[in-house]
Amino acid sequence: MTKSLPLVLALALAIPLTADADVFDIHVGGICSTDFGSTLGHWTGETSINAPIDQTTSMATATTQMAATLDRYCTGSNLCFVYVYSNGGAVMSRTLALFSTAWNIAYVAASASNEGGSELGGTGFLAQVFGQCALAGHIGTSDHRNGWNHNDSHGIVTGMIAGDGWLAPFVQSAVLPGHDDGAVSEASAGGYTTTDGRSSICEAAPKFANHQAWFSCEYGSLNHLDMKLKMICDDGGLTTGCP
Amino acid sequence: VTQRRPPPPAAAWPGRRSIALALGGLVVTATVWWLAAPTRLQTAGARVAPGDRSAPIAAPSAPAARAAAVAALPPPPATPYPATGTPGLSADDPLTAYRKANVYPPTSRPLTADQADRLHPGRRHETMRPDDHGAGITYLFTADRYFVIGDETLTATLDVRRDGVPIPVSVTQAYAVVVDPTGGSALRPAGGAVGVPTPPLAALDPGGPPPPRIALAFAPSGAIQAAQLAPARLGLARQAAIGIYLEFDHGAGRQAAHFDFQYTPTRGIPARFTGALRDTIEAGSLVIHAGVAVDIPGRYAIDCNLFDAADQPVAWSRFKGELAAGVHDADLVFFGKVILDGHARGPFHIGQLRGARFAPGLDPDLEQMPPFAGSYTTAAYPPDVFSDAEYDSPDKQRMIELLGQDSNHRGGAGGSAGSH
Repeated sequence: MTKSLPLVLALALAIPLTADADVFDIHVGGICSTDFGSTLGHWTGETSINAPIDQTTSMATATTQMAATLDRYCTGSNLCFVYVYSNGGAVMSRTLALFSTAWNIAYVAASASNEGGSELGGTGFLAQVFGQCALAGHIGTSDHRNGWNHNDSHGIVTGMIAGDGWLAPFVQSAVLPGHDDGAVSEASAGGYTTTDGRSSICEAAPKFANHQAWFSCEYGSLNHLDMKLKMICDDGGLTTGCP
Repeated sequence: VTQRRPPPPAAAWPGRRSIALALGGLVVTATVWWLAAPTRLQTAGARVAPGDRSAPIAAPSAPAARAAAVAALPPPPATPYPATGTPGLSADDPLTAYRKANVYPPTSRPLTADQADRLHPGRRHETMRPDDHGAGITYLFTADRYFVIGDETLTATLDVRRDGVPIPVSVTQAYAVVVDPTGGSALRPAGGAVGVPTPPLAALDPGGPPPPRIALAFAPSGAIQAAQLAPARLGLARQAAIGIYLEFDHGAGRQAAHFDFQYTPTRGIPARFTGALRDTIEAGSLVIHAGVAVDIPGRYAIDCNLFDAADQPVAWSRFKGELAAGVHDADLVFFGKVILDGHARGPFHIGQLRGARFAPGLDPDLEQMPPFAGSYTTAAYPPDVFSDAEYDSPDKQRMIELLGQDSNHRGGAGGSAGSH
């Protein structure tokens, strides 16, 4: 006992009492992008990740890459916060629904999410609003709403914000039901289960499980492009360059 | 004579000095740990009461408080979020939100009559919309289904109106294209000036609808135009997305339109429901074991809805797991607390039993199973066979622990602390 006590004490000092948990803030861009871009949010002591998700070809490709990103950063004792923009919201929702991995994701924060698909998917405004890529023509409301079970989020909460600002070429807002940011309707950005027009994402109507409005019921003057950084700003990751 | 100091004992390590250093280090480490993480001795779920982030934490130097912390009562049960969401803004902190979102398992949750996405899978979502050029017409270009399997036929329809009244139009182009996710660069449009849609049809698919194009014949059907497509004639080997492209002349200009659907050829069907179903009660939950004949092994996602004796929706459930080739059961768990909280009474029956094989790396990566066309009714279980216990799992406890350690992000509660 006399000899073993110091050894026990030495071991006690050598073994960390808790494993270090790294926190990663994953940023996922929108349609026709391959990453989020150069401006990321930053939180003290955490690592911001510009997720390499290819949203130019297909949702299948993007889903696989999203899962690989989560596998890399959001397992073990790590914790992730996932910031998604536009069609990145659809990619994240689809990934959670199709994979069974219990990633450590605190929440998904979605800005102008195209989770419910865009009515522009069947119109001639696609290229101007979403960009010139193969996937842009296949993110319609029927595609996204039938593409996966949006209610199966692994129990992860998705906080959502939406804009109602004007975006050139402007006339496409007539195609989008209810309020919209020029690219997606609030039916999509608010996580509603139908495409019925909404005048705010606080409206009492069925939403996908665990989807909820955060910070504001609507940013009336912000268009789809303005909305990109808005959630990150709202959640404390940016103070400059915020709309 | 110089008296030399005796040499240290042979057993120099660990000596008294080492022991003293080790003890000192342990005390310092323990003190730092105690000060930095006073909640670590609490049970995971008891760290922060839901909705009460300002709950006092045991003072580090107060033995009585420390003892209270160790013996803290478990947190009160979380009140689950309503199945169809909460109106207004949500201002729950992340831990509270997570607990409310996980009273039920992620894949076994309440179902209400207004959850159209769960009750009407495969329904299309196109709506009447104005034309691109402001010609004063509205149109709806859609179909009767999103999923087409085997020898089934898709019926595409075009409804064009002026002032709400159907008007005759001429369809100038109409064809189907098997979607190539790599895109057809040869047909990719150069892009139009802002405010002016790029040329019809090509503009509908910035990747460019690649050849071959399968011509479609639209013809008047009452007040609308309609065309049918039997994708089986395309001779596809596996799951495919197929796009329908159309251009019509409404008298004041031309309008292009497009939608996609998913097709599963007979030889690409990965598995079928056998029709063999049975139900059991396991750990206070209703489990429906659905027989599945698997041709292509792999990862499957199978969804099912549950209705009560009054035909009211009760719950949805989802099986996610690997299935080998052969006949197997996919176990669909309807969580006991979901049934009890919904005040549902049996016998229960199922609806909308459908599924798909998930094949990451393939495109499309979901291969559809033919939906179950039959019916199944369970035994009339009394309520007391179901458990009222909240869902729990190691994954859930790990998340609660991790969320309890984070203070930077406040989510909907606001006031997150960034670094700028």
